[in-house]
Amino acid sequence: MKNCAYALVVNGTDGKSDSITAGRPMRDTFVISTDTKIIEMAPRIYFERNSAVISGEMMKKLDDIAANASKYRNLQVYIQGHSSAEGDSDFNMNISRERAKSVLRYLAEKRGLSPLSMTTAGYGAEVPLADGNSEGANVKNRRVEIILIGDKQ
Amino acid sequence: MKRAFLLIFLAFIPFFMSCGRAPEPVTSAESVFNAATEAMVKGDDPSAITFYYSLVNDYPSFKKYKSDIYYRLGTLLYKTERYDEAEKIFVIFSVKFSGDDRLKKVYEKLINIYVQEFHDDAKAQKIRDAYAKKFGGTPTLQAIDNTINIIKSADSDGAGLLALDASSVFVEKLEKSASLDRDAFPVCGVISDGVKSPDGKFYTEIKKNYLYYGAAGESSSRIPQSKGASAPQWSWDSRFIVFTTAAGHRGPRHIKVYDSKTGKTSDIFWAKGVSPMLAVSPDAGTSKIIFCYNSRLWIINRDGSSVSLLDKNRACPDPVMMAWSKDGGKLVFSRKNDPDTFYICSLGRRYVEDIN
Repeated sequence: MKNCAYALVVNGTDGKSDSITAGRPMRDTFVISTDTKIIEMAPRIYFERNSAVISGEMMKKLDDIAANASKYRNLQVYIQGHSSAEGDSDFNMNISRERAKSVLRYLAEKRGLSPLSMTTAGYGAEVPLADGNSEGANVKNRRVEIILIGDKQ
Repeated sequence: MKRAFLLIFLAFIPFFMSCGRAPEPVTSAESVFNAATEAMVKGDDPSAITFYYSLVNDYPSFKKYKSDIYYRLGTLLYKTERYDEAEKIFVIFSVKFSGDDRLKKVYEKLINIYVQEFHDDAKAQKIRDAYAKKFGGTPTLQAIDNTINIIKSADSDGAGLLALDASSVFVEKLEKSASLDRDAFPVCGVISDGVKSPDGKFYTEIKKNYLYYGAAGESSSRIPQSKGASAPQWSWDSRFIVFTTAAGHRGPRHIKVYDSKTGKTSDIFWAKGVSPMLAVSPDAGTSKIIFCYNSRLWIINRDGSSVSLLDKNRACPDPVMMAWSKDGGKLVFSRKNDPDTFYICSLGRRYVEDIN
């Protein structure tokens, strides 16, 4: 959904509501279920500094995500890469794209995920999850977020 | 003794002076700012906007957090679709705080306001020029350019499709055909041995497993990162050469783009199972490339910025020819074991669907 201005207003069964807008990072993973569809933000995949290589631990997470994705019909997968703000903006943009592509390759080749659509996007350090330049913040920001959208079985 | 009394008296002077003075007002600029921040954090946008306006209008001498006040007020007005007011505040911000880190975001919002809400191309262009001068041609600006192009193009025609991000293009319909209109699908200079660029000014050839490039009639030089190049082809405007490389049959294959203007090669995607044949879009600069990966068609922006599955069918095992139509709206390919059948894909725009 890159380059797309959108606002998703979610009304919860508890009477509370919240909105998801373009450029706003989601602090927590979420599952939104309607009568026919499920939108889910899967657990985040984290990366080492300056690296787009998926670690063994993160591969297990991706395996779980792929297994979970099998419950959807007409699955659409949005893979969004991010970086910390340590490098220059070109480097950050590039590494964020590479991270998203690494996840795409893993899901397509190792897990044989066969969705209706799959898309990668890189956002560099433009949408940080944690503010600041501390190592703690950087670790959180070097990430890939995966949004799954599908029909209920 | 007298001196001791004098010292005690002096020590109490501030106390005596404060007696009879009016107490500090409860509503200070600082407390309004805090209230605005609190309202914003809680998501109470209307109250936050009222507080920030109060700081701008009632406390003009309150210099602390000035840039924050203008930025947050503009952002909240923008978020709540009060674009006239947001524009005014952002213009003030861009003049007063031209060195602020958030200027980039303010410019982006101003461009969106001018293009999408005011339909004022001249003002949008002015901000885009200021943006490019200050920050250069960033990916964000390119994305905004794409948005502007989308608005200017009709969605139904191929040019409109090519202005979209790769992730917004997909195969609407797949048809088989026994014949092909070669004029509609000119395969643009696939380099098997050596070939001139479409404008005839340059020459490219494969020699000893490497790709070479030079002005027509002169000696050529080796293109960087071109070892093991396969089926390279020219972009329609004769600027880019798009090709794949692979170290061996089982290893990953890399999709690369050589820019003859800068002399640089970009590696935009690599994976096992990528086929050598590529299709380059017919727009100037070749904004997109279609390729076959894991027997499915994928599309990627020429700068590698997004990779997207193009079709839902496993339509393209072993493509022997692939071409994009002149108008940008169709793709054709043929398969190794079925060379007489042409598969024609009509490309369409993917919309974000209503999820209810």
